[in-house]
Parts: sequence; C-alpha cells; structure tokens
Amino acid sequence: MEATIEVIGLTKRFGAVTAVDQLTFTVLPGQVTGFVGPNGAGKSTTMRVILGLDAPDEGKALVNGQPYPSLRHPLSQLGALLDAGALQPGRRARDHLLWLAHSQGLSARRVDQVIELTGLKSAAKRRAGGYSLGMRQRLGIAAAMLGDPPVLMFDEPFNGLDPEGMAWMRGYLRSLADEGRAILVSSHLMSELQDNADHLLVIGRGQLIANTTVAELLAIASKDRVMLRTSERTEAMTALAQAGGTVAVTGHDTLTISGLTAQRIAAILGEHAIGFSGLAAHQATLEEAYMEITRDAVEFRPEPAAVQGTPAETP
Amino acid sequence: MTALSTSGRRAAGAPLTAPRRPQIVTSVHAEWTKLRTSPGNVWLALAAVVLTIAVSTLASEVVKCPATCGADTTKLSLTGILLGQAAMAGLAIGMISPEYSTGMIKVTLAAMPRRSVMLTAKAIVVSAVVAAIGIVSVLGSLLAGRLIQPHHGFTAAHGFAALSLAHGPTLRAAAGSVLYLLLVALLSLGLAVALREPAVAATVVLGLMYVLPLLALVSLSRVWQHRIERWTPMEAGLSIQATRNLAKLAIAPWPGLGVLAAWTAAALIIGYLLLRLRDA
Amino acid sequence: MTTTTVTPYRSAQSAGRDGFWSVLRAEWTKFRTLRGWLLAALVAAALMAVLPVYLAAAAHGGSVESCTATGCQIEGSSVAVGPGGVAVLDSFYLVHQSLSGNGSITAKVTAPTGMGLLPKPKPGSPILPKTQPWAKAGIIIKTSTAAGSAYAAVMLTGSHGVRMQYDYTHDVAGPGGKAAPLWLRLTRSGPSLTGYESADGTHWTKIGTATLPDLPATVQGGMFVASPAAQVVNESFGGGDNMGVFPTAATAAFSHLRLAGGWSAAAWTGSRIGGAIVSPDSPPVARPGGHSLVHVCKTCGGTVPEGYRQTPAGFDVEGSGDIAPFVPIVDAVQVSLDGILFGLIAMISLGALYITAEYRRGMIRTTLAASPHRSRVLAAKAIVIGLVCFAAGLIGAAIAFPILEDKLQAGGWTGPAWPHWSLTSGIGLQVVIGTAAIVGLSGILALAAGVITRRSSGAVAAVIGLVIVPLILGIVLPPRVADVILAITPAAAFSLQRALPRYTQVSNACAPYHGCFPLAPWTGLAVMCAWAVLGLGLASYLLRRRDA
Repeated sequence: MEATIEVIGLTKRFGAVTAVDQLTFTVLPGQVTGFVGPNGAGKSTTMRVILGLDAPDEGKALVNGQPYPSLRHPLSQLGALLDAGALQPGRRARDHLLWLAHSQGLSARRVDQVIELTGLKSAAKRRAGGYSLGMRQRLGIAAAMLGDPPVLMFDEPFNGLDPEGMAWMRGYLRSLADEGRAILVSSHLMSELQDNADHLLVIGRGQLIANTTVAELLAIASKDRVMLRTSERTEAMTALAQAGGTVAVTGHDTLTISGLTAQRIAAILGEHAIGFSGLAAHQATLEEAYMEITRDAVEFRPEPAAVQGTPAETP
Repeated sequence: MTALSTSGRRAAGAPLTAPRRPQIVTSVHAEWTKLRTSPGNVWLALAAVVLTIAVSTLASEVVKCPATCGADTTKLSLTGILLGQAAMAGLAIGMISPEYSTGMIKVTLAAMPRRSVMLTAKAIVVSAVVAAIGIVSVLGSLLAGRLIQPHHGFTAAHGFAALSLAHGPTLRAAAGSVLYLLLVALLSLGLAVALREPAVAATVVLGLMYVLPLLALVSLSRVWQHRIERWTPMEAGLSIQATRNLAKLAIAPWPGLGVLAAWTAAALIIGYLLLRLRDA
Repeated sequence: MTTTTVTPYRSAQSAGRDGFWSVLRAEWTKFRTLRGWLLAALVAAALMAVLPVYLAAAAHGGSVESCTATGCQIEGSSVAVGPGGVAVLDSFYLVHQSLSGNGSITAKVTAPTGMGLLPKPKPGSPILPKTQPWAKAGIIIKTSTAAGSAYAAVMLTGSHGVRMQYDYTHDVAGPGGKAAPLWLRLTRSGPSLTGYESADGTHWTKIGTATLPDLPATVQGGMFVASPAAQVVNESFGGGDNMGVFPTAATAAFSHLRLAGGWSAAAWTGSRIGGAIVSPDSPPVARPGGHSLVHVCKTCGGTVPEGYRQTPAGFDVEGSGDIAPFVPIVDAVQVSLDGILFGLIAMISLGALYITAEYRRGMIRTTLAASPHRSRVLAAKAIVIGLVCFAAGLIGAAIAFPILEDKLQAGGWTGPAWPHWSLTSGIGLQVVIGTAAIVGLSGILALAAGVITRRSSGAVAAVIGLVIVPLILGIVLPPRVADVILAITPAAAFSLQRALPRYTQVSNACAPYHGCFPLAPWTGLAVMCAWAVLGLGLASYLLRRRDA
C-alpha cells in the first residue's frame, strides 16, 4: 500500500460558512505537495480534518487508507506540524517529545535521535516557553518526525522563519521527499514553494482550483508568450503584427508576443533583417500563475467603495 | 485601503479622530465593551441572579416558624448571596485572568499603558455590573421572602412583620448585601491581578469564601471560631445581613463589612503594585 | 499528474506496546515533567497533613459533652463502659430480683408514655412529641445492677414498636403488627436469652436470641423504664444555633407478671441504674406501695421523677435515661479532618488545569493527533490525575491521622466515648483511605469539568460548588434539607471521614457540621463515584463530539 493522504469529497461547515467544499485530492509519496491558497481558504481546516481533530460534515480523509483516528500508532504513519506554539511553556523541550514518544510506545532513545536530527541538542534541556519561533518550528518538526512516518504534513512551516531557516526548511522537506515520503506543505505564499514543491494543490474558498504539477501550472500561466529583446522595437512590432502575432510592449527594449512560436518569430525577424539580443519563451513565476487562478477565490477583498474613497461603511 | 478611506473622510471635512476624552473615560468604555462582548458573561450574570434568588427562595421555603421561630427572616431571605457571590467573583476574575492566559494583556497594556488607569477602569466596570446584578438579586430575594415567609408562620402572631425596606435593619442588610457583593468582586479582581492564572485565582478566592468560614463553622475551638468570624472576609462581611441578636455577632454589621473592605483594599493594592512591578 | 517511480518510505520505527498503556504512560510523563504541578501536589499534600493536626490541637471538648479525667458526662447521665469497651449509656429505673440458673419472666406491658421535656423549654423552641421515640418499657435480664454490665431485654418503645436489644449495640425489631399493650417474655437458658412477644399471652412469637457468654449463674431480672434525654436544637438563622439537652421521663404499666425457674421469690426492689441523674438533692419520697425518687437537674432547673408503685394488677414504673450505645454528638476526628479542604481545593485546581492548560495553548491538538482515541486520552488523564490526587490525599491523611488522634486525646477527647484509633485500625484505614478517595475523585471531577467547560476558573468553581459548597449549605439550611443536599451531591463522600459509629437505635441531634452525614460511609463514596462517572461520561461525549 502506498503511503498517502487521500481526501475524498470533504466538506466542513462552521455554521453558515462552508470552510471546505467537496474537496478531493491525493498526496503521493516521494513528492513535496504544496497546498496553497489565500488565508481562510480552508487549508488548516482540511489538515485538522485529516488529523481527526475536526469531524467532516461530508466526505472523508484517509491516511494510508484508513481514517486517522483508527490508526494504531498514528505518529508512525503521519507526522504533522500544525501549530508550533501548541505546547505548554513550562515543560522542557525534551520532556515534550518524551510524552509524545510514550504515547506511541517509543523509547527515550528515539527522542534523542530526533533532537539530534533537528539540531536542537544544545537547547533540549531548556523550557520550550523560552524558545524562539524558529526553534519552536524545529521542535514541532522533531515531534512530527518522532514516529519516522512515511507521510508528513506541515501547516505554514515557513511562517516567521528567517532566510536561513527558510533555506533549511526547504532542503529538509526536499530530503524527506527524496526518501520516498509523502509531504504535504501548506502555504499562503506561492513563492515559498516555487523551487520546492513537485505538485500543487491550489485551494480557494474551500474548493480545489488546481491540482497539478508545478510545470503544468507555469505553462498555464505562461500560455505561449515569447519575450523579445530588441533595439529596433517599432520595426519588430510592425513585422510581427503583420505576421499575425499579438504584440505588447513590456519595457524600453522588450516586447512580449503571443500567437507566434519562438522559431517563427526568429524567422520573421530574419526576413526583415531586424536584429535582436534576446528571444525566449516567457517564464511566468508561480506567483503570477497563482494570482491568475485564485483571482476569483480570494476570501477577503476590499470593497470597491472603500478603494474609491467614498466614506461608505466598510466591513 | 485605510489610507484611502481616511483621505475620503478628510475630503468630506470630517475630523480625523473623536474629540479627546479623559483617559479613564475611554478606558472604562473599552473595558465595558470588552466585558459586554466576551462570550459567557451575559449568561454568568443571568445565572448569578437566578441562582441567588433560587437559593434564597429555597431557604425561605424550608424554614418554618413553629419549628424555628428564632430565625432572622431578613438574613434568611438573603441566603442566596452565599452562592451568588461566587458568580460575582467569577465575573471579576474573568475580567483579567484570561487576558494573561491568552496574552491579550499585552494588547490591553499597549492601549492603556498606565497600569493604574487600566486597573481603575476594570474596577469601575466590574463594580457597576456587580451593583446592577446585586440590586436585582437582593430585591428579588427579599420579595420572595416577603411573599413566602408569612405562609410559614412568620406572622405578626409570632412577632414577625413582613419583610420591608422601610424597616431600618432590613434596608441596611439589603444595601449591605449589594455592597458585600461589590467588595467580593473587587477583592477577586485584586487577587486575580496578583495571581494571573485563572485557576489559581478562582481557587484562592473560593477558598477564602467557602473553606475558611467552613473551618469556623465546624471548629471545635471557640477562640478560633470567634477569630475567623471576626476577621475573615466572608464571615465578617456577611454580618451586614444580621437583623436580630446583633449582640451575639462576633463583629457588628458595619465593622464587619469594614473588615471585608480592608481585605479588598489590600488585595487591590497588592494587585496594583504587582502590576506595576512585573513585566506584562 | 506525474507518475512517481519512487519507493514509498517505510517507517523504521517499530512501534512499541500498543494501546491504552502507551497513552497512560504519555499522560504520566506529561504530568511529571511540569515541575510546578508536582510541587503543587506536594504542597497540597503538606497542607492536608498539617491543617487537620492544627485543628485537632485547637479543639476543646464541647459544651454539651464534657470529658474530664474521671470520664465523660452527657447532661444528666454518666457514660459507662459496656462489654467490649464500648461507650454506653446505662441509666434507667429497674424493679428487680435475682435469678439463679435458668428461668423466664413474662409480663403484659403498656407502651411507655412520656411526660414531655423536663422542664418545659422556652417558648419558641421546637415542639417535640411528649413521648421520646426511643423511650423504653419492658423486661430485662442483666448481669448486675452495675452500669455497663451485659444484658438482654425485650421492650415496647415510644415509636419504634417492639424490640429485643442486648449488650447496648444490638437491636432486633419484633415482628410488629400488634397493638400495645403486649405480652413480653424473656427466657434464660445458660448463656442464651430468648425474647418473645404475644398479643394474648398464649400464642408466642420469637423475636430473637442473644448469647451473652460471660453471664454469671446469678443475674438480676425485672421490669424497667427508660426515656432518653431530648436534644433540642434551636436554629435561629443569623443568631447562631444553640443546643439544649433536656432530661425526659416515661411511665408504663406492668401486669400479669409471671416468673418461672430460679427466681429468688423475694420482694421486688426498685433501683436506679447508672447512678443518680444528678445528685439527688431531695431524698426519695415514699409512696404507698412503692418507691419514688425525684432528681433535681441543676443545669436545667427542673425535676425528674422516677420510681415504682404497686397496683392491683402489677406495677406502674416511671423511669428516665437510656440503655444504648453512647455516641457523642461531635465527631472530633471528622471535624478536624475538615482541615484537608485547603489541600483539596488546590488539588481540584490542579485537576482542572491538567486539561484546561492544554486547551489554552492548543496542545490538546498535539495530544489528540498522537492519540486519536479521545476516550482513551480522557481515561488515561482521569487515571493519572485520580491517582496523583489520591496519593496526595493518602500522604496527607496518613501523616495527619495518627498525630491528630494524639492531639485529640491530649485535648480531652478520650475514651470510652472517643476511643483512640490507630492508623491501621479499621476506622483509621477507612478515614485515611476515604480522605484519599475524596481527593482523588474530586480531581477526576475537576478534570471532567475542565473538559466540559474548557475554562479553568469555571471548572474549579463548578467542582468547589459541588464538593465543598454543599457543606456550607448543610450548615445554613435546616437539617432535613441539608440531609437531602448531602445525600445527592458529591459531598456525601465526606461521610467516609466519620470515625464514630452510628446506631439506628439512638436519636441523635447530630448535624453534618458535627460530623453526621445522612449516608453511610461507603454509600457516600458510591454517590461521589457516580458523579465522577457521570462527569467523565459527559466529558467523553463532548470530547468526541466537539472539534478539537
């Protein structure tokens, strides 16, 4: 059986608000799956349902083919970091891991292993309440790694990390995936997942907007645009437009053309003897792609009235 | 967006901020809003009134004259205060302790940096609310007693007049009971500020209210019984409710309430000093 | 979607023992690794050890009962030592002669008729029946006229029908259904004494048999009347309660007297057993055909008549006092043990915090992710906090009990009314383990309340309201209401701290604050257990139903 998270037709309502609406996806092993969407899109709720913390109104979430609450030693199947601050500040970090280990029938030796693994050794005897945010994140990861689970789930692990911490986190997630683990990482910032995720689940207003690989998503956003750098801008525009391309000026000496392939453009420019210093298929950033597809799915957006400066009541 | 809407207001000629009001007024307003919008407080207030009147009614219902004509009918009809005071303490503790446990105290102190103003504002708000609850509870309890007691033999024939606020001692007991609740709430507020942790604050306050007097009531030592009745907040404070056999009290009504007031003052001062001295 | 060719990861951690034990171990680790909590439990245990001792050291004998070096006195009667060292009241009027060897005595006896309180209480006092419920008139065979000697008797009582009683603590009800006057018979055969009753003097029903192993060959037998002192509690709310004890007397007519066996056949002698009620200031007054005593009760300012008079059919006998086990009103051990209450509320707040602290920081989600079986988590938490609280209570009470016993003995709370109990005696174990159980169950209740309310202050208030406030209500409300409250709330379990025995054949104006609870010790514990089970059930339901 493959180590996965399966979410099938999941719906969760809080009163009148539908936080998660008919969500279906699978997290596969050996990949970092990014779970992205604006704040309030339902990412954390989905993760809480996967962990059995919240009961779904419809549908189900399975971890390795079973509902999480029916797992025998759940931390050996799924490790999760939901809220790094969710600990009692008076307890020493090692003791926090120790009670978790005891709950899974694991030994204190394993605790020392994960402490070593996450680089907390020097601080393990200190009270967790005195930890910085970055160290709490590491402690949370140590807790998630206790059972050496094949599936891992992190809710906004990059929040509050410094650049160094972010780099560490990226590398760590990558290495976990390379070991064959299934990794689900949520974030509201696509840039955090840019070079990191293999697969993306984009969620907005509780619904799945995109379930795709990073490459596919970029292709969608990039469409078939080609970027041209030339000093003879006007000439180039005329020639390309005549050939049937749609040309947009994007800079002092840059143009973006759609409707024509790069080879065709090169040929046309050659015919007209127009020189160019650069020609490349436009590479959209994930951020752009994300903005494009989530445009309609943003939960909270300013009311137009307020933007226009009308002294109207704004929520 | 905020900037835009502000500039919009400016264009309309509206003032940027409200006219400046004294800090204490805005602080009281803030604390009142906080109390009002905190879930559960409305229920707690309702529960306090219902519980107080219910227990008072029960007490008036079960004590009958041919059996116990020595009863102090005023004090009897105010028995519910014994339980109602716990709700008042809960209300007061709820005004400050959860702020420490959630960390909201930092926001509060950022908004009202002067500790004295913040504490005074809380004290004013809790006093006003408790006074309102107390007046309703006390009047309700007395009314229940006035309606019930004559049916249980507390009649003119046995030397009892119906409860009435026109009767000096009864008026003193009624007003004193409201004051008592108010002082209990302020005592709880002071202790809660000093102790921070809600469970500890609740334990200490309830210990003072219930365990200490219990030791006096069961004590096998007359000396200690007398000391506890004279000097502990609840026992001394509740002497304000007595209207008969005043000579047998360990402490007279008003001095008794004074003892409670001294406890309250001490708790508030300690709470304030700790608030000043400690980091939030 | 891309197809992966990676091999899925397999956890290298072979999980250890499964199920509940790991959850339990985790919860224990969680508790013990917070130093503040361990410290709080120790402080609470120390409080529970120290305060009861302090209360015991400050205690002095009550006003109603007083104990001096020469023994204890309850108004009007001295306390004697009965068979087995039990404190007894053996004070009544006996018309007797001696019986050697086996024999029987039969008489037709009217129900005792009381004369009300002597003297009349002040107006405003509760109105009591003229005849005491446990006034006794009947026939008796007794080792000797010495107070506290072994006996067996059949009797008619004020309102408890026909009884056979022997050696003070034993009480057997007759079959009932017959109206007084009744025929009573007591037969001696060696150490065996058998009581009978009859409506007509010909058809007899056996009530019971007593075996008194140390009964000598020659014993005293005859007719007796007793009427226990009435304990009158004047409740005056706000003015303090006061209690008075008033002697009472009763009279009964005996006829158709029949003796069989080794009776001395001498004339009947009237004797007051148990010494004078109070020194007889007035000498016995002779009455025609009889003998009369009038006792003056100095402290209550009245007179108590006793004596007998021959009538054409038999005898009229008047008597006062009681033949019964003596149970002091105040249970000094229980009252001293109220000193555990401060430690108890500390443990209650710990029990609440054990769960609410997890809610506050969101750690409950970590806990439930690690152990998704929520009922198991709750059960593990209940066991851990229950045992921690039990241990704190056990340590506190086990240290306090022997010391407070010594302090009470030194303070005049001595035997036979207040025996010295060792820690390992039945009572010692009941009191100490009972105290620990109260603390343990309170901790579990606090845990349940913490789950239900998810607020520590609310949980603490709820449990103090259930466990301790009923004790206060038990004082401020009249006894019959207090009895209901203390029978249905968890506070019923405080009956476990009672050291003194309870007898149904004694009316005692003992209130909860004297250490008298309406339920028997283990029944009281059962009530508290029921609350804990209910609380945990509700908590478990809510924990499973609510999103974490």
